[in-house]
Amino acid sequence: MSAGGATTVDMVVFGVLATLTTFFALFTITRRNPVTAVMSLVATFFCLAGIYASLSAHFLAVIQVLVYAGAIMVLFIFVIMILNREEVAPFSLRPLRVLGVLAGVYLLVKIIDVVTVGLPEAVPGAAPDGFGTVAAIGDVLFRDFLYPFESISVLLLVAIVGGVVVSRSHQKEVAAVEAHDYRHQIEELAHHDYPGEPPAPAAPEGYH
Amino acid sequence: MEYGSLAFQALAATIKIVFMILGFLMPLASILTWMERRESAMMQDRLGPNRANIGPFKLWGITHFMADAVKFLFKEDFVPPKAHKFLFMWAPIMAMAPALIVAAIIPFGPPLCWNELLEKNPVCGQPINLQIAQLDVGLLFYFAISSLAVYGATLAGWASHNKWAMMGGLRATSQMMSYEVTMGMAVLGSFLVYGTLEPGAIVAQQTHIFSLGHYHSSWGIFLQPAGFVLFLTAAIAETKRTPFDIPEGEPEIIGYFVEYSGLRFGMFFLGEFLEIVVSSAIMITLFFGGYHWGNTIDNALLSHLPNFVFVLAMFGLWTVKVFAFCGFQLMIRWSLPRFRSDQLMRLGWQRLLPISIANVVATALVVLWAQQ
Amino acid sequence: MILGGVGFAFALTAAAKYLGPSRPSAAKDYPYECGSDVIGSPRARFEVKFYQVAIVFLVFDIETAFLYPWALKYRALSCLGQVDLQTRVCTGGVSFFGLGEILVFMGILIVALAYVWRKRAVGWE
Repeated sequence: MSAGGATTVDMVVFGVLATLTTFFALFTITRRNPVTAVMSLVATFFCLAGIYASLSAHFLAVIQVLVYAGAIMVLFIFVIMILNREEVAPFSLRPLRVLGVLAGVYLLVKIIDVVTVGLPEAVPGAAPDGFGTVAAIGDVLFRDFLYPFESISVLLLVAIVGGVVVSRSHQKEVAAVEAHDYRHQIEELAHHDYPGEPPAPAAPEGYH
Repeated sequence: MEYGSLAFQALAATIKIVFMILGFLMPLASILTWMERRESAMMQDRLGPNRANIGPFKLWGITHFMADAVKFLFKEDFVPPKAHKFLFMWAPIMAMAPALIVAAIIPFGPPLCWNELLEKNPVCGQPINLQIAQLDVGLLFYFAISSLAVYGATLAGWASHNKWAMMGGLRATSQMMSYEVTMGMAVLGSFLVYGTLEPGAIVAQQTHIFSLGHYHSSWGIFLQPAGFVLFLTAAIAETKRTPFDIPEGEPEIIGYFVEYSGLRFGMFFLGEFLEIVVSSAIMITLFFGGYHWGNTIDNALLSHLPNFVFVLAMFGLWTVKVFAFCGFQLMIRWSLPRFRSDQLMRLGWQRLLPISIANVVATALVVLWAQQ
Repeated sequence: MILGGVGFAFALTAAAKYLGPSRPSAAKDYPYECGSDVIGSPRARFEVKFYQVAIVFLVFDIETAFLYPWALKYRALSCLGQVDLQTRVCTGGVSFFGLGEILVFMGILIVALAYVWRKRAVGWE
């Protein structure tokens, strides 16, 4: 798909993918159910990966699916499932609404601008052979961008440590609550045949 | 219709897709449902399902899989009242679709030489690759789509609105995630050796079974034995087969598909068997030479058989290899005790991951040394 | 081609979905199938260990994504001259550049794994 310029097939493919991406993105922000929203976000990323692929960025497309749709969204779903809230109606505070309207107006102005003024005259040239392949990215990444590459590992280390530390403090809290409930149930068993209801949690239950 | 035209390519792709899905993957996965029960029965010294028959033909009960399919089709389609309808429907599809999509990159035969189909030892001017999509990112596509299979388990657990299903779903998801990392690392050694991600190119390099002179033409198992063991283990854990089937451990613990019945449940299991077939095919591609017989036999076949028959012979060998691997994975089921959930996670993160990292470093050192 | 590869599975699974609910016989409304729903509320206890596993998985997934192009380019990176494609031999010197840079990268992430191991975020579950 690295034909020079913009052939008809390319335009059709792009049109379909762009429409799908926009549709799924709109779907995401209008869902009440958070899990449905996350799944339509996954679909958005999938279509986005398709757009990358049609622009000859194959490695980027696959990594988009692998990392973003495959790992980060699973993290989102985990958080939603763990928090286990019922569906909430969307809420909005007054100042946020004003900001939202302003942002929408700005976006509309920009879209009208692009559509009326038109795109630049020069047709994009063909991608060079081997553009966007894994080997080509490797060539550049490990020679020219060596220092950013190594610092990414430090970034990932910080991310892991931060994630574990932040969730660990909550882990201790939950363990304390569970121990409290367990002690209560053991006491109940001393007097009754079945454990009673666990007491109303005295310790904070975490996020609500 | 010309060889290189878009219509020709589209037609060729469609034929390959239809053949692959309807002609190979689905029948094999369905037969595996029966084969598993029969093989486990034979291993346990009992009979297993051998009674289904079409008219007077029993065929050792192979037709059981058709009976199962018909049974699933006609069961009541029950959706739990509080379940999330859309996601409940979507979860089995997310479990089954990735296995089918991934089969697109698997090479199942040497190129068919269009216009020279009846010649022996042709100069292939117009090859039709027996591979649905020849992607430059090859096996990364496999990992990317496999990571989408995680959603099948997660959504199934969540959409059932049943807290046991949800816990099972969370467990299954964390298991799949843990072994995806090992799977990716395990094949890094193979990538170091072959220098390409594209499965067709990887198979094309494995022409000899084992050769000391051209060591890099040997089958992958001799170049990366540790990689093979790691990948095999990780793939079995990904498909949630025994001994890693805590998420679905039938008689002991509720799994994530407890609220599914009929064809939806069947789709989960069919998805699992499809993944067995596809992961077997990937293992053969990476480690066992794909469709190659070995250098001498290959050359003999090439020069004595017309191209069409040659391709059929290679495809036949590929089928046999895939079948053997599937049988091997089924056999493992009754050979090893089931891992407990925490043992499983410990195995994934604290044993397999360090070993696979060590494998990558060791392979890198060997490649460096061999380059001199 | 990528779209072709993706499209066919959806076609088949859509067919399977269509075949799915084709014969609803009895329409009784069964209650929950998990026995009696006695133990506590449906709000599951906050099992934060799943979240920790997900974070660690994410980071190692990204690390593996960086390792793929390195693996493909390893021969070229560790060769001071050119690599002869037929015999896989390096003409020119052998350098430890390729190996060295990845050891730094993986070393830092092995530290991350050791930390997570020590804090028992992935060891026990």
